[in-house]
Amino acid sequence: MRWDYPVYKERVEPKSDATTVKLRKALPFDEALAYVAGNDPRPLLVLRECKTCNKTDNALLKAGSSDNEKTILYSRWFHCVKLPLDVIQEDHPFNNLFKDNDAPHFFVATLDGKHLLPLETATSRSELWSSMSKVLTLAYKKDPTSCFKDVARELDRLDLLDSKIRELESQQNGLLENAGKLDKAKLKKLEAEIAAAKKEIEDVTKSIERLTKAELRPAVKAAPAPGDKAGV
Amino acid sequence: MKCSEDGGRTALAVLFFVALLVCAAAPARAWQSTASEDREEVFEKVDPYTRGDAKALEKLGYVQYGPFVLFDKVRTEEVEEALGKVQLLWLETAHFKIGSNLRLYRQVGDVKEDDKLEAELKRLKTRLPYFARLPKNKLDPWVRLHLFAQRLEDQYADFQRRFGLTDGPLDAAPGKEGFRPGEGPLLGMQQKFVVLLTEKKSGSARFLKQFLNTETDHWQRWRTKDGAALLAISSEGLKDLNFTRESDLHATVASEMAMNFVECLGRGGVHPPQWFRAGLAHVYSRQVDERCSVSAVGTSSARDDEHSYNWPPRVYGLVFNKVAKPWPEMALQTKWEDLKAQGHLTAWSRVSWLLARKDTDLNALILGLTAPLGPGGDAERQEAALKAATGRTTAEIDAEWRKFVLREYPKN
Repeated sequence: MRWDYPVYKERVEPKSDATTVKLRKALPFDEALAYVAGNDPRPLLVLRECKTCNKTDNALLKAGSSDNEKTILYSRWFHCVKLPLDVIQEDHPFNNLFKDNDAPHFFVATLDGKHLLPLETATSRSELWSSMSKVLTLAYKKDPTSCFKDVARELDRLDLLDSKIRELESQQNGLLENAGKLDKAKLKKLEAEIAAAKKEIEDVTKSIERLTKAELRPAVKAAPAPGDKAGV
Repeated sequence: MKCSEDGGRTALAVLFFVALLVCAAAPARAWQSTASEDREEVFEKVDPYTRGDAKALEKLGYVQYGPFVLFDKVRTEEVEEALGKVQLLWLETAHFKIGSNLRLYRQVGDVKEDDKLEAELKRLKTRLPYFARLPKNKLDPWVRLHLFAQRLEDQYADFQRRFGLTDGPLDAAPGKEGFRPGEGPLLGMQQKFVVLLTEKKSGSARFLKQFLNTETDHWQRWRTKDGAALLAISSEGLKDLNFTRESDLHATVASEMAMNFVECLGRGGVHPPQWFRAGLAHVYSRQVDERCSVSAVGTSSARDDEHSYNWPPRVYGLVFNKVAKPWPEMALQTKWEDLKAQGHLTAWSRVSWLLARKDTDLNALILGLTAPLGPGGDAERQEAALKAATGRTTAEIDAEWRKFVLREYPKN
């Protein structure tokens, strides 16, 4: 999954040449949410890293599970954000998103935070997808997840093309790198086949782009974040 | 970036990594990674192998443990805070400032890696007073830090020795105009090299975002205008690409540092030619573990495939078949995606041959290749550098290299 790691740039008040006073304090919930959202208009999937348990990176994905495909596809329509360990400390700027260690490990939410669904690792896959879907339906004009079967079919095609290219490139390398085995006609044919397969990948990729394209509801937009937003 | 094919559904990568997939090199296991086990490891606060003893530090060539100013005006405490108040081990050596939160590494019974680690630890042992505490078949976070300090200083020394370079006066401040790239005392830099080794991708990502305003999914080199050169890399980033060994991390760091060193020497901030940077990076990486080909995109289709990482016969084939790009042509290549597998093999072979060639003046070579560009551009710069280093033109040196390959490399 593609994660964003927002960092909060503190306003630092210089006291002297040698020392500075740091003004770290928790932002109100709305401001914290707007800050982590930054300029990304998608709804949020926010996850906190955790010191004492193993509920974060694998919270959404299960090793070796075919269910991951669906989760990853759904996450595409979210702005996925990972927050650091100390977010549960009360002076952390984003603390109001995860108050303490009893807070859920992640949540999905509309950009304005009005609809927020807390989630845990133990959450069943169907409940996870259902929560993701609920937020997506609120955030987008049309539920984008309906394309899942079509996208899965395109991903199957990509898998095949990927294997095909690897095989063709392996043959190409063999011809180029094995002394005395260079068959120029065969090499030319392989180059053409590789180019065709790459073109096909481009087409499938475009098709996936088309299938997964979703329009956000205009009403759901991030409130402008206060202060310095550099780094988000 | 080279990726592996084992396991997983590679096509999923297209959802996020389209460009990589087009190169038939998708991070196949990224979506089902077990790389980041999130339980945080608590490190011993005081180095158990030196116990902070001043004499021990001196013997190791260390300057100090953290906290200290890491680079520019950024202190180690600020980095810890940006990463989520996580515990990092900090160490300053003669030429490096190293931060690490790498966790305990359990050796996996890989004979090649075990032999390498045994040799490294044997050397380290002679310099560490309380080494008896070392657990068997495991590298704890402090030992990993000591190992990286040793490796980095070794590579720095090797680089200087090869190219006949020495440090300038460390206390020399830059002139009125400020730091000028390539003219600082430490391989052209003003400050010590910073290497941040994090366990998780999030650690490197937050560091890069907070202090350098840059983002990456993997690892990154960076230089600041005040003359600091940095590398931030995570173990998880490599594991996602199926490179899980300690030696994979070491080989990748060696490759990145080789690039960093030569790039930092570029006077006027101009990089030396791509073939030289790529070739040198592969030389250093392969010295560590030739199986780790992560920086040689496209050269390997599967991890630990001996045919893939045994490069000399492959180069032999390229030369025999007359498909190795002529040197003058390769000299003008600048796009990494144009290098392709055969370009990486060729660049590695040419650089390693030049380094080993009896009559090459390597000091002249590196000074020439890192010189500011003149009106004739890079072609002229390279021609002059090769002439100064070998007394030959690029075309002549190409012919000599081809003869060498056909004479010395095994046929495949």
